[in-house]
Amino acid sequence: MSKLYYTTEEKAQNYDTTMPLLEAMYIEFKELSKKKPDAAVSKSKIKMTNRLLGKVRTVLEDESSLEFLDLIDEDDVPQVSDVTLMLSQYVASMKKFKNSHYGSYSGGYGWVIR
Amino acid sequence: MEIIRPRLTDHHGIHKSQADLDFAIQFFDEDLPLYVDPFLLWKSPSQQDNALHTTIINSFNHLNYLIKKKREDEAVSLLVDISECHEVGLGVSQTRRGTKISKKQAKDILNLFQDIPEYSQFGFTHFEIIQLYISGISKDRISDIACNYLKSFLIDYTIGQCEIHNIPIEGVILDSIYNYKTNKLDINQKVYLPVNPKTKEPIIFTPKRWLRFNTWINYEDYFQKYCPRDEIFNPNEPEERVKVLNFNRENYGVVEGYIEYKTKTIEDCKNDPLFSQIPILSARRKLNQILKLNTGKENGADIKYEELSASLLASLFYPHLDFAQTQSRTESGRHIRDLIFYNNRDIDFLDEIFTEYNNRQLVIEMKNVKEISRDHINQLNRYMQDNIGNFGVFLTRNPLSKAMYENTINLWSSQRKCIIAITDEDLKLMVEVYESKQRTPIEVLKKKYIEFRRACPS
Repeated sequence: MSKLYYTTEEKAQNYDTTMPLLEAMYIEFKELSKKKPDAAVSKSKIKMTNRLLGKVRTVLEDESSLEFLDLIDEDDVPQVSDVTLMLSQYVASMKKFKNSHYGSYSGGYGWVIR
Repeated sequence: MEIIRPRLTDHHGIHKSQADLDFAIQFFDEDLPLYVDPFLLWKSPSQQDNALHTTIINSFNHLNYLIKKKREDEAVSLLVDISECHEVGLGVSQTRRGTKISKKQAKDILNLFQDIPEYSQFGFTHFEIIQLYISGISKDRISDIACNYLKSFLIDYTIGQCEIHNIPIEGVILDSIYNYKTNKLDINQKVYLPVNPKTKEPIIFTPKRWLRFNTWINYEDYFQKYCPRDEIFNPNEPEERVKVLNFNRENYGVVEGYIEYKTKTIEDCKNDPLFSQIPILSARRKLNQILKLNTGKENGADIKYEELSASLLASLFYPHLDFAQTQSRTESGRHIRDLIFYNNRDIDFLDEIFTEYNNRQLVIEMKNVKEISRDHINQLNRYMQDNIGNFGVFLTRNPLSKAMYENTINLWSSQRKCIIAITDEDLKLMVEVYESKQRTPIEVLKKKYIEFRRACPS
C-alpha cells in the first residue's frame, strides 16, 4: 500500500503557487551567499521573503517539520547565509510534503485529496 | 550631570538632527568653523538668494559713493562697525566674541575704490576679492560683513525657523542692524530672537546652504591655482603674501581673470555639510587598524583605539546620531574616554532609549581591554544618571564573559539600567552594512539591545 496520505485542496493549490517562487528565491540567495555570505540582508528583501514564507507556512501547518522553521527577524540583522540556510530548510520540508501527498493512488495520479 | 556640549536644540528639548534642519545648529560655548560664502548666494538657483547677494554688493558699493562724496569718515566707521557679527556664531572663536577691524584696515579697503579705476567706476561684483588685495582680511571677515548686511533678513529667517521648531524667543536689544534704505546702521534695535541661556546673548541662525569651510574666492586658492608666481617673485625669493597683494593691486586684469575662472567652475561650488561621513574605504581601513591593535595600553594602543573608533562610529551613526564630542574624565586614577552623541529620537530604537531610559545623550565608553571587569561595569553604572540616562554602551574588544553578562542583566532587573557591549564582531558587521548600504549601522546597535532585552527576565 502506498505511503501517501490525504491533504486538502487548498494546501495543494498553495503548494503549486509558492513552490516555484520559493525555489527561485532559494537559488538567488544561494548565489548571493556564495559571493558574500556575511553581508546583511536589506529590510525590503526580508519583507519579501517573509511574505512568501508566511504563505508557505500555511501549506506546512500540519507537518512535524514546522517547529524547526521560523520567519526572519529583521531586528536580528540577518546575514545572507542565515537566510539561505532557512530557505533550504523550507525547500526540504516542501519537498517532503509533496512526497507525502502526491503520486499515484486509486483515483489516478496527482495530489491525494479527500 | 548636565548635557555635554549642549546645542540650542538640545537645550530646548527639540530632537532634530542637523541633517533635518535648514539652519546650522549653534553651540553655546563656541563658534562653528564655517563661513557664509556670498558666492553661494550668487550661485543659488533661488531668486531670493540672488537678490540678497545683490543687496550685499549694492551696500558694499555704497561705500564708494560715500568716498566720492568726500564722506570718507562715515564710510570708515560704517565698515568698521559691520566687520564683526557675533550673533551668528560662525568662525573659530572659542568665546563667540571676535574683534572688529582697525580704522587703518578699513581705510585700506576703501582705498581700493580709489586706487583701482575699474572699482571706482563700476564697483565690485564679488566683494570677497578684497581678500586678494588687503592683508589681514580673510573668510571670517567676508562672512561677518555679509551677515551684517543681511542681518535684517537673517533675523526674520531665525524667527521663522523658531516658529517652525517651537524654539522660544525673547526680546533683545541688538547693537546695530544695517538699513538698506538709508545705507546706515540703525542703533539699539529691539527684536525677538532666541538667546543663549547662559549669557542671554541673542542668537541668529544662518541657512546651511550658504555655508562653506572657506569662501569660493579666497587667497590660498588664488595663490595656488591662478597666481602668476613667476612674474611676482624672482627665483629663490621667499614667497611673501604682501608682494602678491601689491601685484594684484597693479594688475586688475589678473584678478578679473581669476574671477572669470572661478565663475566658470561654478558647478563645483557647493555648500559644505557640517559633518561629512568618512568614505567607505577609509571606514574599512580604520576597522582593520582597530582589529590589528593589541588590547591594553602597550605602545599607546588604548589611545589609538579611542581615536580610530571615535571617527569610525561618528560616521557610522550619522545622520541618526549627531556626534557631540569625545570626553575625558578621570576616575580612580584611570583615564577614561567616552564618545558622546546627541539623541535625536529619529528612529524607534532611539526614541525608546529616550522614553525608557531618559537618554538625552548616548554615551559610549571605549575600553581597549581583553575583558570587561566588574569595576568597569560599576564605573559606567555610576556614570549613568540624569541627562546621560540609564542606557550605556561599552565599545570593547571581546564579548562580555558569562558572569559579566549576568551582571548587566541583574543591573537591569534591579535598577532598570541597561548596559550593552559592542565588540569587534559588531564593528565588523557595522562596517559591512555601511559598505553594502543594505541596512544602517545603527540597526546593529538596536540588534544588540534587542538581544539583551530577550535575555532579561520578563
